[in-house]
Amino acid sequence: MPLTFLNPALLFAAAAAVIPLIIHLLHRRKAREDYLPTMRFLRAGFAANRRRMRIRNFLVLFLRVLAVLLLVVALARPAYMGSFFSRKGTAPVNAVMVIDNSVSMAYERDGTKRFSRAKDLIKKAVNDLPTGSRVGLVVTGLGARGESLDRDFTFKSDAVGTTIDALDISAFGGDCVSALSRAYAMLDQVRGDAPPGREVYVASDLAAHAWAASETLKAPRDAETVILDVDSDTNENFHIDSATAEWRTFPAPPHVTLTAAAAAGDLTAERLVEVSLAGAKRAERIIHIAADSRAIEAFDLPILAANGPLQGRVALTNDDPIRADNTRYFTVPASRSLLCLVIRDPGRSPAADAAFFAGNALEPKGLEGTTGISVRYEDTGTVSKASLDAADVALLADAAKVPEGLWRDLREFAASGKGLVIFAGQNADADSYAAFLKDAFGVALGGSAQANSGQFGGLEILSLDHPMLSAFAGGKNGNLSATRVFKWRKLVAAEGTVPAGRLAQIGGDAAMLAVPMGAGRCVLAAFAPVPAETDLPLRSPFVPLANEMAKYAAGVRSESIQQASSLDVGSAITLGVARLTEAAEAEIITPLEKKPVKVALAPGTSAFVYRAFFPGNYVAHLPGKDGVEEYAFSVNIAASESSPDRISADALQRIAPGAILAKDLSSKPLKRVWGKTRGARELFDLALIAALVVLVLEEYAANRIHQDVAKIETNL
Amino acid sequence: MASFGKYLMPEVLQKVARLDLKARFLVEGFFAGMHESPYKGFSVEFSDHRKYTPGDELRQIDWKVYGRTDRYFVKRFQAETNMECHIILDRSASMDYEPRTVRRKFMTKFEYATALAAALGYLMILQQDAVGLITFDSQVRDYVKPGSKRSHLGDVLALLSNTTPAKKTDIAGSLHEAAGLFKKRGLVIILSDLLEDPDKLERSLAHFRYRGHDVIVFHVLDAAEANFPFEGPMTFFDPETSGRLTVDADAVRADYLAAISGFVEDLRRRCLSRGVDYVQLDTSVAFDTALTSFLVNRKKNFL
Repeated sequence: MPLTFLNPALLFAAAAAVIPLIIHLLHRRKAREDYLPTMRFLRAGFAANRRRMRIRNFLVLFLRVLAVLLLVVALARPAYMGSFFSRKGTAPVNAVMVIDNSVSMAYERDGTKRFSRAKDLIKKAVNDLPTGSRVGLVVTGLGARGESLDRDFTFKSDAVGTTIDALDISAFGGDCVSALSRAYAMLDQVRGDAPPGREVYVASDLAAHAWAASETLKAPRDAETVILDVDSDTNENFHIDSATAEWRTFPAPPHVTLTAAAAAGDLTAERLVEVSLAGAKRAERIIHIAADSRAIEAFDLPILAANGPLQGRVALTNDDPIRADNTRYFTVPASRSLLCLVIRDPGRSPAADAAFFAGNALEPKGLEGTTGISVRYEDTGTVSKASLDAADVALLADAAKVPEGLWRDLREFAASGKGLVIFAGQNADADSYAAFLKDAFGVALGGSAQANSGQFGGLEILSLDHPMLSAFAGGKNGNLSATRVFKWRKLVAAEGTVPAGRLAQIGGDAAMLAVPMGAGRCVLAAFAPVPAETDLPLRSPFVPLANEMAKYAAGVRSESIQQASSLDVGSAITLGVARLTEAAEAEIITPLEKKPVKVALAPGTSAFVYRAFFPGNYVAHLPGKDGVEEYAFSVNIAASESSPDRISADALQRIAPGAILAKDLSSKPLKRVWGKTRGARELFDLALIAALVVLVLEEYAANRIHQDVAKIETNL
Repeated sequence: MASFGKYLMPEVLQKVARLDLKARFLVEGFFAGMHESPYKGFSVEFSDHRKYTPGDELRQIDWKVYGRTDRYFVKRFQAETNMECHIILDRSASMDYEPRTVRRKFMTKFEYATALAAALGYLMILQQDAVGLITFDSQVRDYVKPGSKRSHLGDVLALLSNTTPAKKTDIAGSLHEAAGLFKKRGLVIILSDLLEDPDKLERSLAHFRYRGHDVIVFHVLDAAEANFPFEGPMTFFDPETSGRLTVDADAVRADYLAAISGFVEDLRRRCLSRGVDYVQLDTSVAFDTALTSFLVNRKKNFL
């Protein structure tokens, strides 16, 4: 049958056609009786009149019924299939277009987004379909309100084109395998008078994250799948790949150190990076990003003080396709005080301590306030292992005699990754210290250790170029004047290096040695300068050393916090609260909502899960033991999406066996049926227009009857 | 006297019960509205002239003769110039038609024709013309021979008052029969709805003309017949033939009005061709229309 309906179920509404009939019958009135002597004149025109009026009334009734039927037919979306509409000579097909609108589709090449290219390819595929084909649309991502953007079959290719034009990138979803599965399901439902051919077109950048599935899809019988790779040539993909920030107290004033990695695709370019912290722009820098590499940039952002964690973002500012990928948000975890354990000789008087620290710049009284380091004093005779375990940094402060057990504990202390600073000043027993260093690190001092190019045995000499020292030299807290720095440099330059013998001679003159241990942890040793022999700074840089130690000590904890506080879009975070005895409420300040999101917590709750859907910085106010606690975290687009890997052709074949992978539509070897064809045309608009025309005719006919009578009356 | 003018309206006159009063009110009302009417005293036939003598009315001086002879002559009228006027009234059932489904507003055709006949009779007697009356249905039923005495008017009005509509009608036959009754040439006034075959009707009117009569036909239709105010589905009965017809009144109105309009025009044309004055009336039309038509006719033929 050449006429088919896309919504045949609506044809039941045709029963409504009896409504005009019922109205017509109800309006038939019973005749009244009267005499009329001039009835002969009535009889004269009666026959013709009755015939005409019957015809007119029937015509009006017919038009009313017809109008209702046509409206019903229009809503049932009729389509005429016949050779009259077919011109191309190719049999029409059922085609489902699948468009990947995941985040990675927003990347540009030559000024054209992948998504725009995908749209163009799909629209061309739609236009290339034989006349009378039915087209369906499947979109991988969801709409802004989480709604599906799929569209059922239609004969109107221009309507599909309009829908495609209106599509945009979606931050929700983007699973091409699931979309392809839906497309196959649509084709499976094709029945009856629909065109026989079945085709699926997929336009995607083949990013691995969108094709992450191990399942094998089963295509409908005789269905052909064409996967259009919208960006197979280049991968221009500049974006901020990662951003990690940490709180540092050294050098003063306290500051945040941000390490951002910018990644590139196939091209090399210079891009402007902008850093904001706590809502204020703090730095910008042009960085050079080489093709297929990551450019890592560090930023030092001084801060005055901060209560709780700090949040910020780092972004590429020019011409990257999507802001979400351009930008990475970060949260700086709150620092806590580090505990420094100062170990000294027993019986040392406070005056001697003061003299020592005054001479060595330890500044114990102001230490905690300016550096975030708290100091505890113990002597070599009483210091316990428990004390060492609680400390982050241990300082052996020019102790004369160190018990054997303490040496052992200090060795374990250093081996556990904590910072150990050894000051060997005038009081130190050089032999005992040298033996410890040799025993602990295999380094011989004053002996036969070989020196070469800055290396003294296994010890590294911290030169003035070391960032710690150079920062210290420029810092306000340091008293290493430019003159003294110059002299220090001069000494090192004169000696070339510090030979072992020289070290002994100068009594550990300002040599600061570092030993790498394990996963980036080290021990630093500093030897107090001898004023008589050198013009070196009289105070040893204890504070920078302690900070350096603390950094290593805090490293593990810092990493764990950083990982927990940077999430991918859509992932869940478990937020812990104090075990509640009564119902309470947590609130989460999101980057989008003006009002905080409230989460009701039942009694007994100790944690709840929050799922963040938008990239940005979040702050959660959680009920804690001592009132409301603040927890901050950042949410970013998953690195897998911002820097997509591509799925291999083999993997693609495993998912969709037999799929044709093509760069464009020119080489598409489809097996379409040629010969006598039946085109199709959707007749919704025609049926609607016909219904309207019939309604107008009905109105005209009904009016005409009354007008005839009125006109004759007027003439008389 | 001016208050009599309202009696020219049928809806007012129908409230007057006595026919003689109806006739009087009509005529006096008619003349009350015609103070300066040019139609005074023209109803008698001219005989000859006589010399003017003091006391004669100035308006009777023939100024044309004065223009020719320079002498005053007064027009004289024949003593026997009293015109014989025959009023023929249709008393068929159709004349008594009264629509049941339309709100009653006017008198029936028969009442209208009776009042008009009485008024005409009254007017004739006033002008010393002889008035006779014939009523008919399927044949001539009553005949009052013409007379010009005032007492004769009483006979005419008595017959009119006592006449009631009958059943069937044969207008043409009755008119032929009436034509044979008149010995003297005169004026014949026919009051009827003329629901008859036009050919027959024309021949019967020609009969009068052949006998030398002047004929005025007052064609009286009911307002409902003329305007067809019926609505919706209707079943009509013919009061004379008992035929019935069910129609949609709204739908057939146009054709009906066209048909009856054609019928009237046909009658008018036939009358014209036979030298018969034709006046179409319906029961909503004021009586002065009929009376004026009559007087105009008289002026035309007798002045």
